[in-house]
Amino acid sequence: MTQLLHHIIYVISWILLLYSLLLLLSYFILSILSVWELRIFKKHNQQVDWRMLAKSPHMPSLSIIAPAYNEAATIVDNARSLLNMHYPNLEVVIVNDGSKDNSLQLMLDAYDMEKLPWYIEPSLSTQPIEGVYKSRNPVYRKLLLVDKKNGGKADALNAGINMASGQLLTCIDVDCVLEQDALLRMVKPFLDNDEKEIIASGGTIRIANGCVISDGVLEEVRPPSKYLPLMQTVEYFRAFMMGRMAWARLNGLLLISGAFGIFSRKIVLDAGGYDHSTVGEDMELVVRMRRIMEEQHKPYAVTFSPDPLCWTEAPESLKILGRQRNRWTRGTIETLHRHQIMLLNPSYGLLGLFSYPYWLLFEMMAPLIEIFGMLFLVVLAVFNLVGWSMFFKLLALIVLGGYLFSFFSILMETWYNHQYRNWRQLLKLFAVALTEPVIFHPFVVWSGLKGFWDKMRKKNSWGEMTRVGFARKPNTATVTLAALKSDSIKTGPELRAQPAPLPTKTA
Amino acid sequence: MFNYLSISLLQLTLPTEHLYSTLYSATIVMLLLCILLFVLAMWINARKNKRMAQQNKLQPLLEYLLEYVILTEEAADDSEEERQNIRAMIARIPNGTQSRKMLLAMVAESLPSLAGVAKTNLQFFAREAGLVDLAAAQLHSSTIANRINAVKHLGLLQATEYKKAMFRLTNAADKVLREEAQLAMVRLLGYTGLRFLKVLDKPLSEWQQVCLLQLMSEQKAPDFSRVDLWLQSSNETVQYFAVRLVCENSLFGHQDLLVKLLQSPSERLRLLVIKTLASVFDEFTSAHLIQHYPVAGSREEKLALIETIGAIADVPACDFIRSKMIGSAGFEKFQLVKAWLRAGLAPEELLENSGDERETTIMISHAQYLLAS
Repeated sequence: MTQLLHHIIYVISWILLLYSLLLLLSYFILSILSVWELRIFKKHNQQVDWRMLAKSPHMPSLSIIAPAYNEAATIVDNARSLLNMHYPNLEVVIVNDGSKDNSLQLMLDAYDMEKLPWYIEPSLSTQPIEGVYKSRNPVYRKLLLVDKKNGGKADALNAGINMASGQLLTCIDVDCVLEQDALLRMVKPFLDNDEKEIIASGGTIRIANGCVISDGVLEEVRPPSKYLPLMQTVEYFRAFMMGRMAWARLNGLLLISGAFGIFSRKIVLDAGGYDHSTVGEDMELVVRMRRIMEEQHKPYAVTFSPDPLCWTEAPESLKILGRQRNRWTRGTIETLHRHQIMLLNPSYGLLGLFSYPYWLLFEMMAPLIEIFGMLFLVVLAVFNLVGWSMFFKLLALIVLGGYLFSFFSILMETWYNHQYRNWRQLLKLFAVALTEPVIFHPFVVWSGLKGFWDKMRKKNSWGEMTRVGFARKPNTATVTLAALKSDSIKTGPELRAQPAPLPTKTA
Repeated sequence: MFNYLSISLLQLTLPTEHLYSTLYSATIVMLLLCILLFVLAMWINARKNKRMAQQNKLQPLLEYLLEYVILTEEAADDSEEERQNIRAMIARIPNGTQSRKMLLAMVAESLPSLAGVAKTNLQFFAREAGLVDLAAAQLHSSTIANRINAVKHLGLLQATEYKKAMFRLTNAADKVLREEAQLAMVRLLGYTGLRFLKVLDKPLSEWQQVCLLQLMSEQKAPDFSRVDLWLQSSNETVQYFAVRLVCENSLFGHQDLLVKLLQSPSERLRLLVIKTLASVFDEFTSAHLIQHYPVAGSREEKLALIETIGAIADVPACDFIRSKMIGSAGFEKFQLVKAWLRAGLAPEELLENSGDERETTIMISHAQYLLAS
C-alpha cells in the first residue's frame, strides 16, 4: 500500500513539475518567435504609404458585417461610423436580427432606404430574410440593410455573409472603436503572400477603458484607472504581442477575436459560416476553416497584425469578467471537442501536432490542472509531506516566470507601439502585473472552473454583458458603438501567468 | 512512521539534488531577467520620449522651412533669387544628423501629396540640403532597413542618378527591398520604370501590383508599348499584372494573347483574363469563351464566363445564354439572368422560358437594380 502511494505521489509530482516547466519553456519559445515575427512585420510595413492606398480603387472589395439587435439608440450612428471607415472598396451590411424596437424604421428613415426584390443565394442556412433595403441616396450606396427573423449573433452574421458581395469579410463587434486605416492594414496580408492563401487575418485589440474617445476616434491613450481593466491591459499585451504574434509566425493561430478579424469570404462559405450552437463561434470558425484547408492540402495561412487597430471596453466588475471567462472556457471546450480528430494527428500538420495540443493542455486544461495541483499540495501538506523550502523555491521560479513574460510583453509594447509614454503609466502596468498571481489569476482560474462546471451542466448561454461606456471628452459625442453585446475578444493563448504550484520537498 | 515515509518519499518522489540547484539558479536568473526587462522597458521609454522631445523641439523650425519652400510661387529652377532664398533657408537647418534625418523623413512624407512648383522646389531644397546624399549614403548599408529607406527616399527625391543602382535592386532577393526599388523606379521614370518587369523572376505580389497601379495612375504620359512582352512573360505574376494593366486601361489589340492565357494553369489568372475580356473583346472573343466554358475548372470560372459572354452580347453570346438558361438553377441562373439582361435580351422571353416565374421575377428585378447601379 505504501509502495503504491509512493508511486502515485512520485508520478503526480513529476507530471506537475514537467507541466509547469513545459509551459515555461513554451512561453520562452513563443517570446522568441514573437520578437522575430514583430521584426519581420515592422520591416514589411514601415514603408507602406497607407494614405496613397486609402484611395486606390485596386484594393479588393470588403464587406463589413454588423449584426444589430434592439440597438435603436445607436444603430444610425454606428452605421455612419462604419460608412466613414477609410477603405476604398467597402460595403457595409447591417443585419437587423429581428429587433423588437424601432431600429429598422430608424435606419429606413435616416438613410432613405427602400425595400428591393433581392435574390439571395442561400449558401448558409439562416432564419428567413424579411427584407433587403438599399438607400435611394447614392451617398449611401455602400450601405445594405438586411432585416431578418431573430436567430442570434451567429445566425445574423451568417445572413450578412450570404448577402455580402465583398471578396473579404469583416465581422466587427460594433462596440469597438477602430483605427481609421484599420481595414487597409488588415487587408494587406491577404494580398502580400505569394505562396499561401491567406484565409483570415486578426488584429491586436487594446483596452479602451480610460482612453479618451471622441466622435468614434481614439484621441488619447491612457491606462485604465481601475484595477481589473488595468490588469487586462497587461493580459492583452501578453496575449496579443506575445502569444498571437508567435503563433502567427508558426502559422498555428487558432483564434481571431470576434471583435475584429478579416476573413476570405470564399473560405468562410466553404467552411459553412458561423456555428450557431457554440458560445465560442469565433474560435470555432477559424479552427474549422483551418481544418478544411488542411484536409484539402492547400497551402494557407492565418496572419496577425501587432498594430493596435481596435479598441474595446474591458469588464470592470468581477461579475462580468467572470461571465466572460466562463464563456471563453466553454467556447474553447466546445471547439476543441468538435475538432478532436486533429489532436496529434500528423495529417493536420502543425495544427494537429502543436497548436491543438497547446490549446488543450495550456488553455483548456490549465484551470483543472492548477486546481488539482493546489489540492494535491494541500493533501501532501496535511500528511506533512511537503518540503516547504523547496516548495517556495519552485513557487518563486514559477511566479517569476509569469512576471518575466508579463514584463517582456510590456517591453515589447513599449518598443513597438510606445503608447503608454509617461513613466508613471508604465510603472503602473509593471506594478499591476506583480499583483496578478494573487488577485487576478486565481479569479480567472476560478471562472475557468465554473466554465467547466457549466459546460458539464450543458449550459449554453452567453451571460449578460454590460458596459459602462468609454471615457469621453466634455462636450463631445462619444460613439459607443453597440450592437449585439458579444464581448468576444478572447485573448487567445492567454499565456497564463502562473502555472500550477508544485508540491515538493526539500532535501 | 510518517517521518520514515516522508524521508523515503523525499528521496524517491523528488528530483535529484542536482535538479534542485539548477532550479534554484533558474529562479535567480528569472529574477535578474525580470529586473533587466523592467529596466530595459523604462530605458526604452525614456529614450523614445527624449527623442520625441528633441523632435518636437526641432519640428516647428523644420516645418517653417518646408512651408516656405512649398508655398514659394516661383520655381527654383527658373529663378536665381529663389534659389538663393532656399539656400538661405537651408543655412538655418541645425547641424547634426538627427535634424537632417528628420528633415528627410518630413520631405519624404510631404512629396507624394505635392505637384508642380511646390514639388520641384522641395526636391531642389532636398538636393541642396544634402538630403539626397544622406539617403544615398544608406543605399549600401549593411542593414536592410536602411537600404529600404534609402531606396524609398531616393525615389521620392527624384534622384535619377541612382536609377541604375535601383534597377539592380528591382530583382533583389529581399522582398521588401525589391518592392521598394520597383516603386522607386516608377517614381523616377514613370511608365518607363516598369521595364524591370522584363527581367523580374521573383513573384510580383498582389499588394505590390496594387501599389504600382496606384502609383502609375498618378504618372503622366502612359506608355503601354511593352504590355505584349509582359503578357508573354514566363513569370505568371508579371502576366497577371499585365492583364490588370490591359483591364484597367482598356487596352485593345491584345485579345489573342489574352485568349491564349485562358489555357494558363493558374485559375486566378484565367479569372482575371475572363473579366478583362468583358471590356476588351473583339468579334472572335465570345466564340473562344464559349469554347472554353465546358473545360472551365471551377464554378467561379463558369460564372465569370457567363458574365463576360453577357457583356459581349453578340449573336453567339446570346445563343449561348439562351441555351444555358434551360435547366439552370440557383446562383448560376441568377448570373445567366444578369447576362441575359446585359445582352439586351427581352425579360419577357426569359419569363416564358424559366420554370419558377416568381423566382425569375425576383432575379430580374435584382439584376436590373445591379445593372442600373
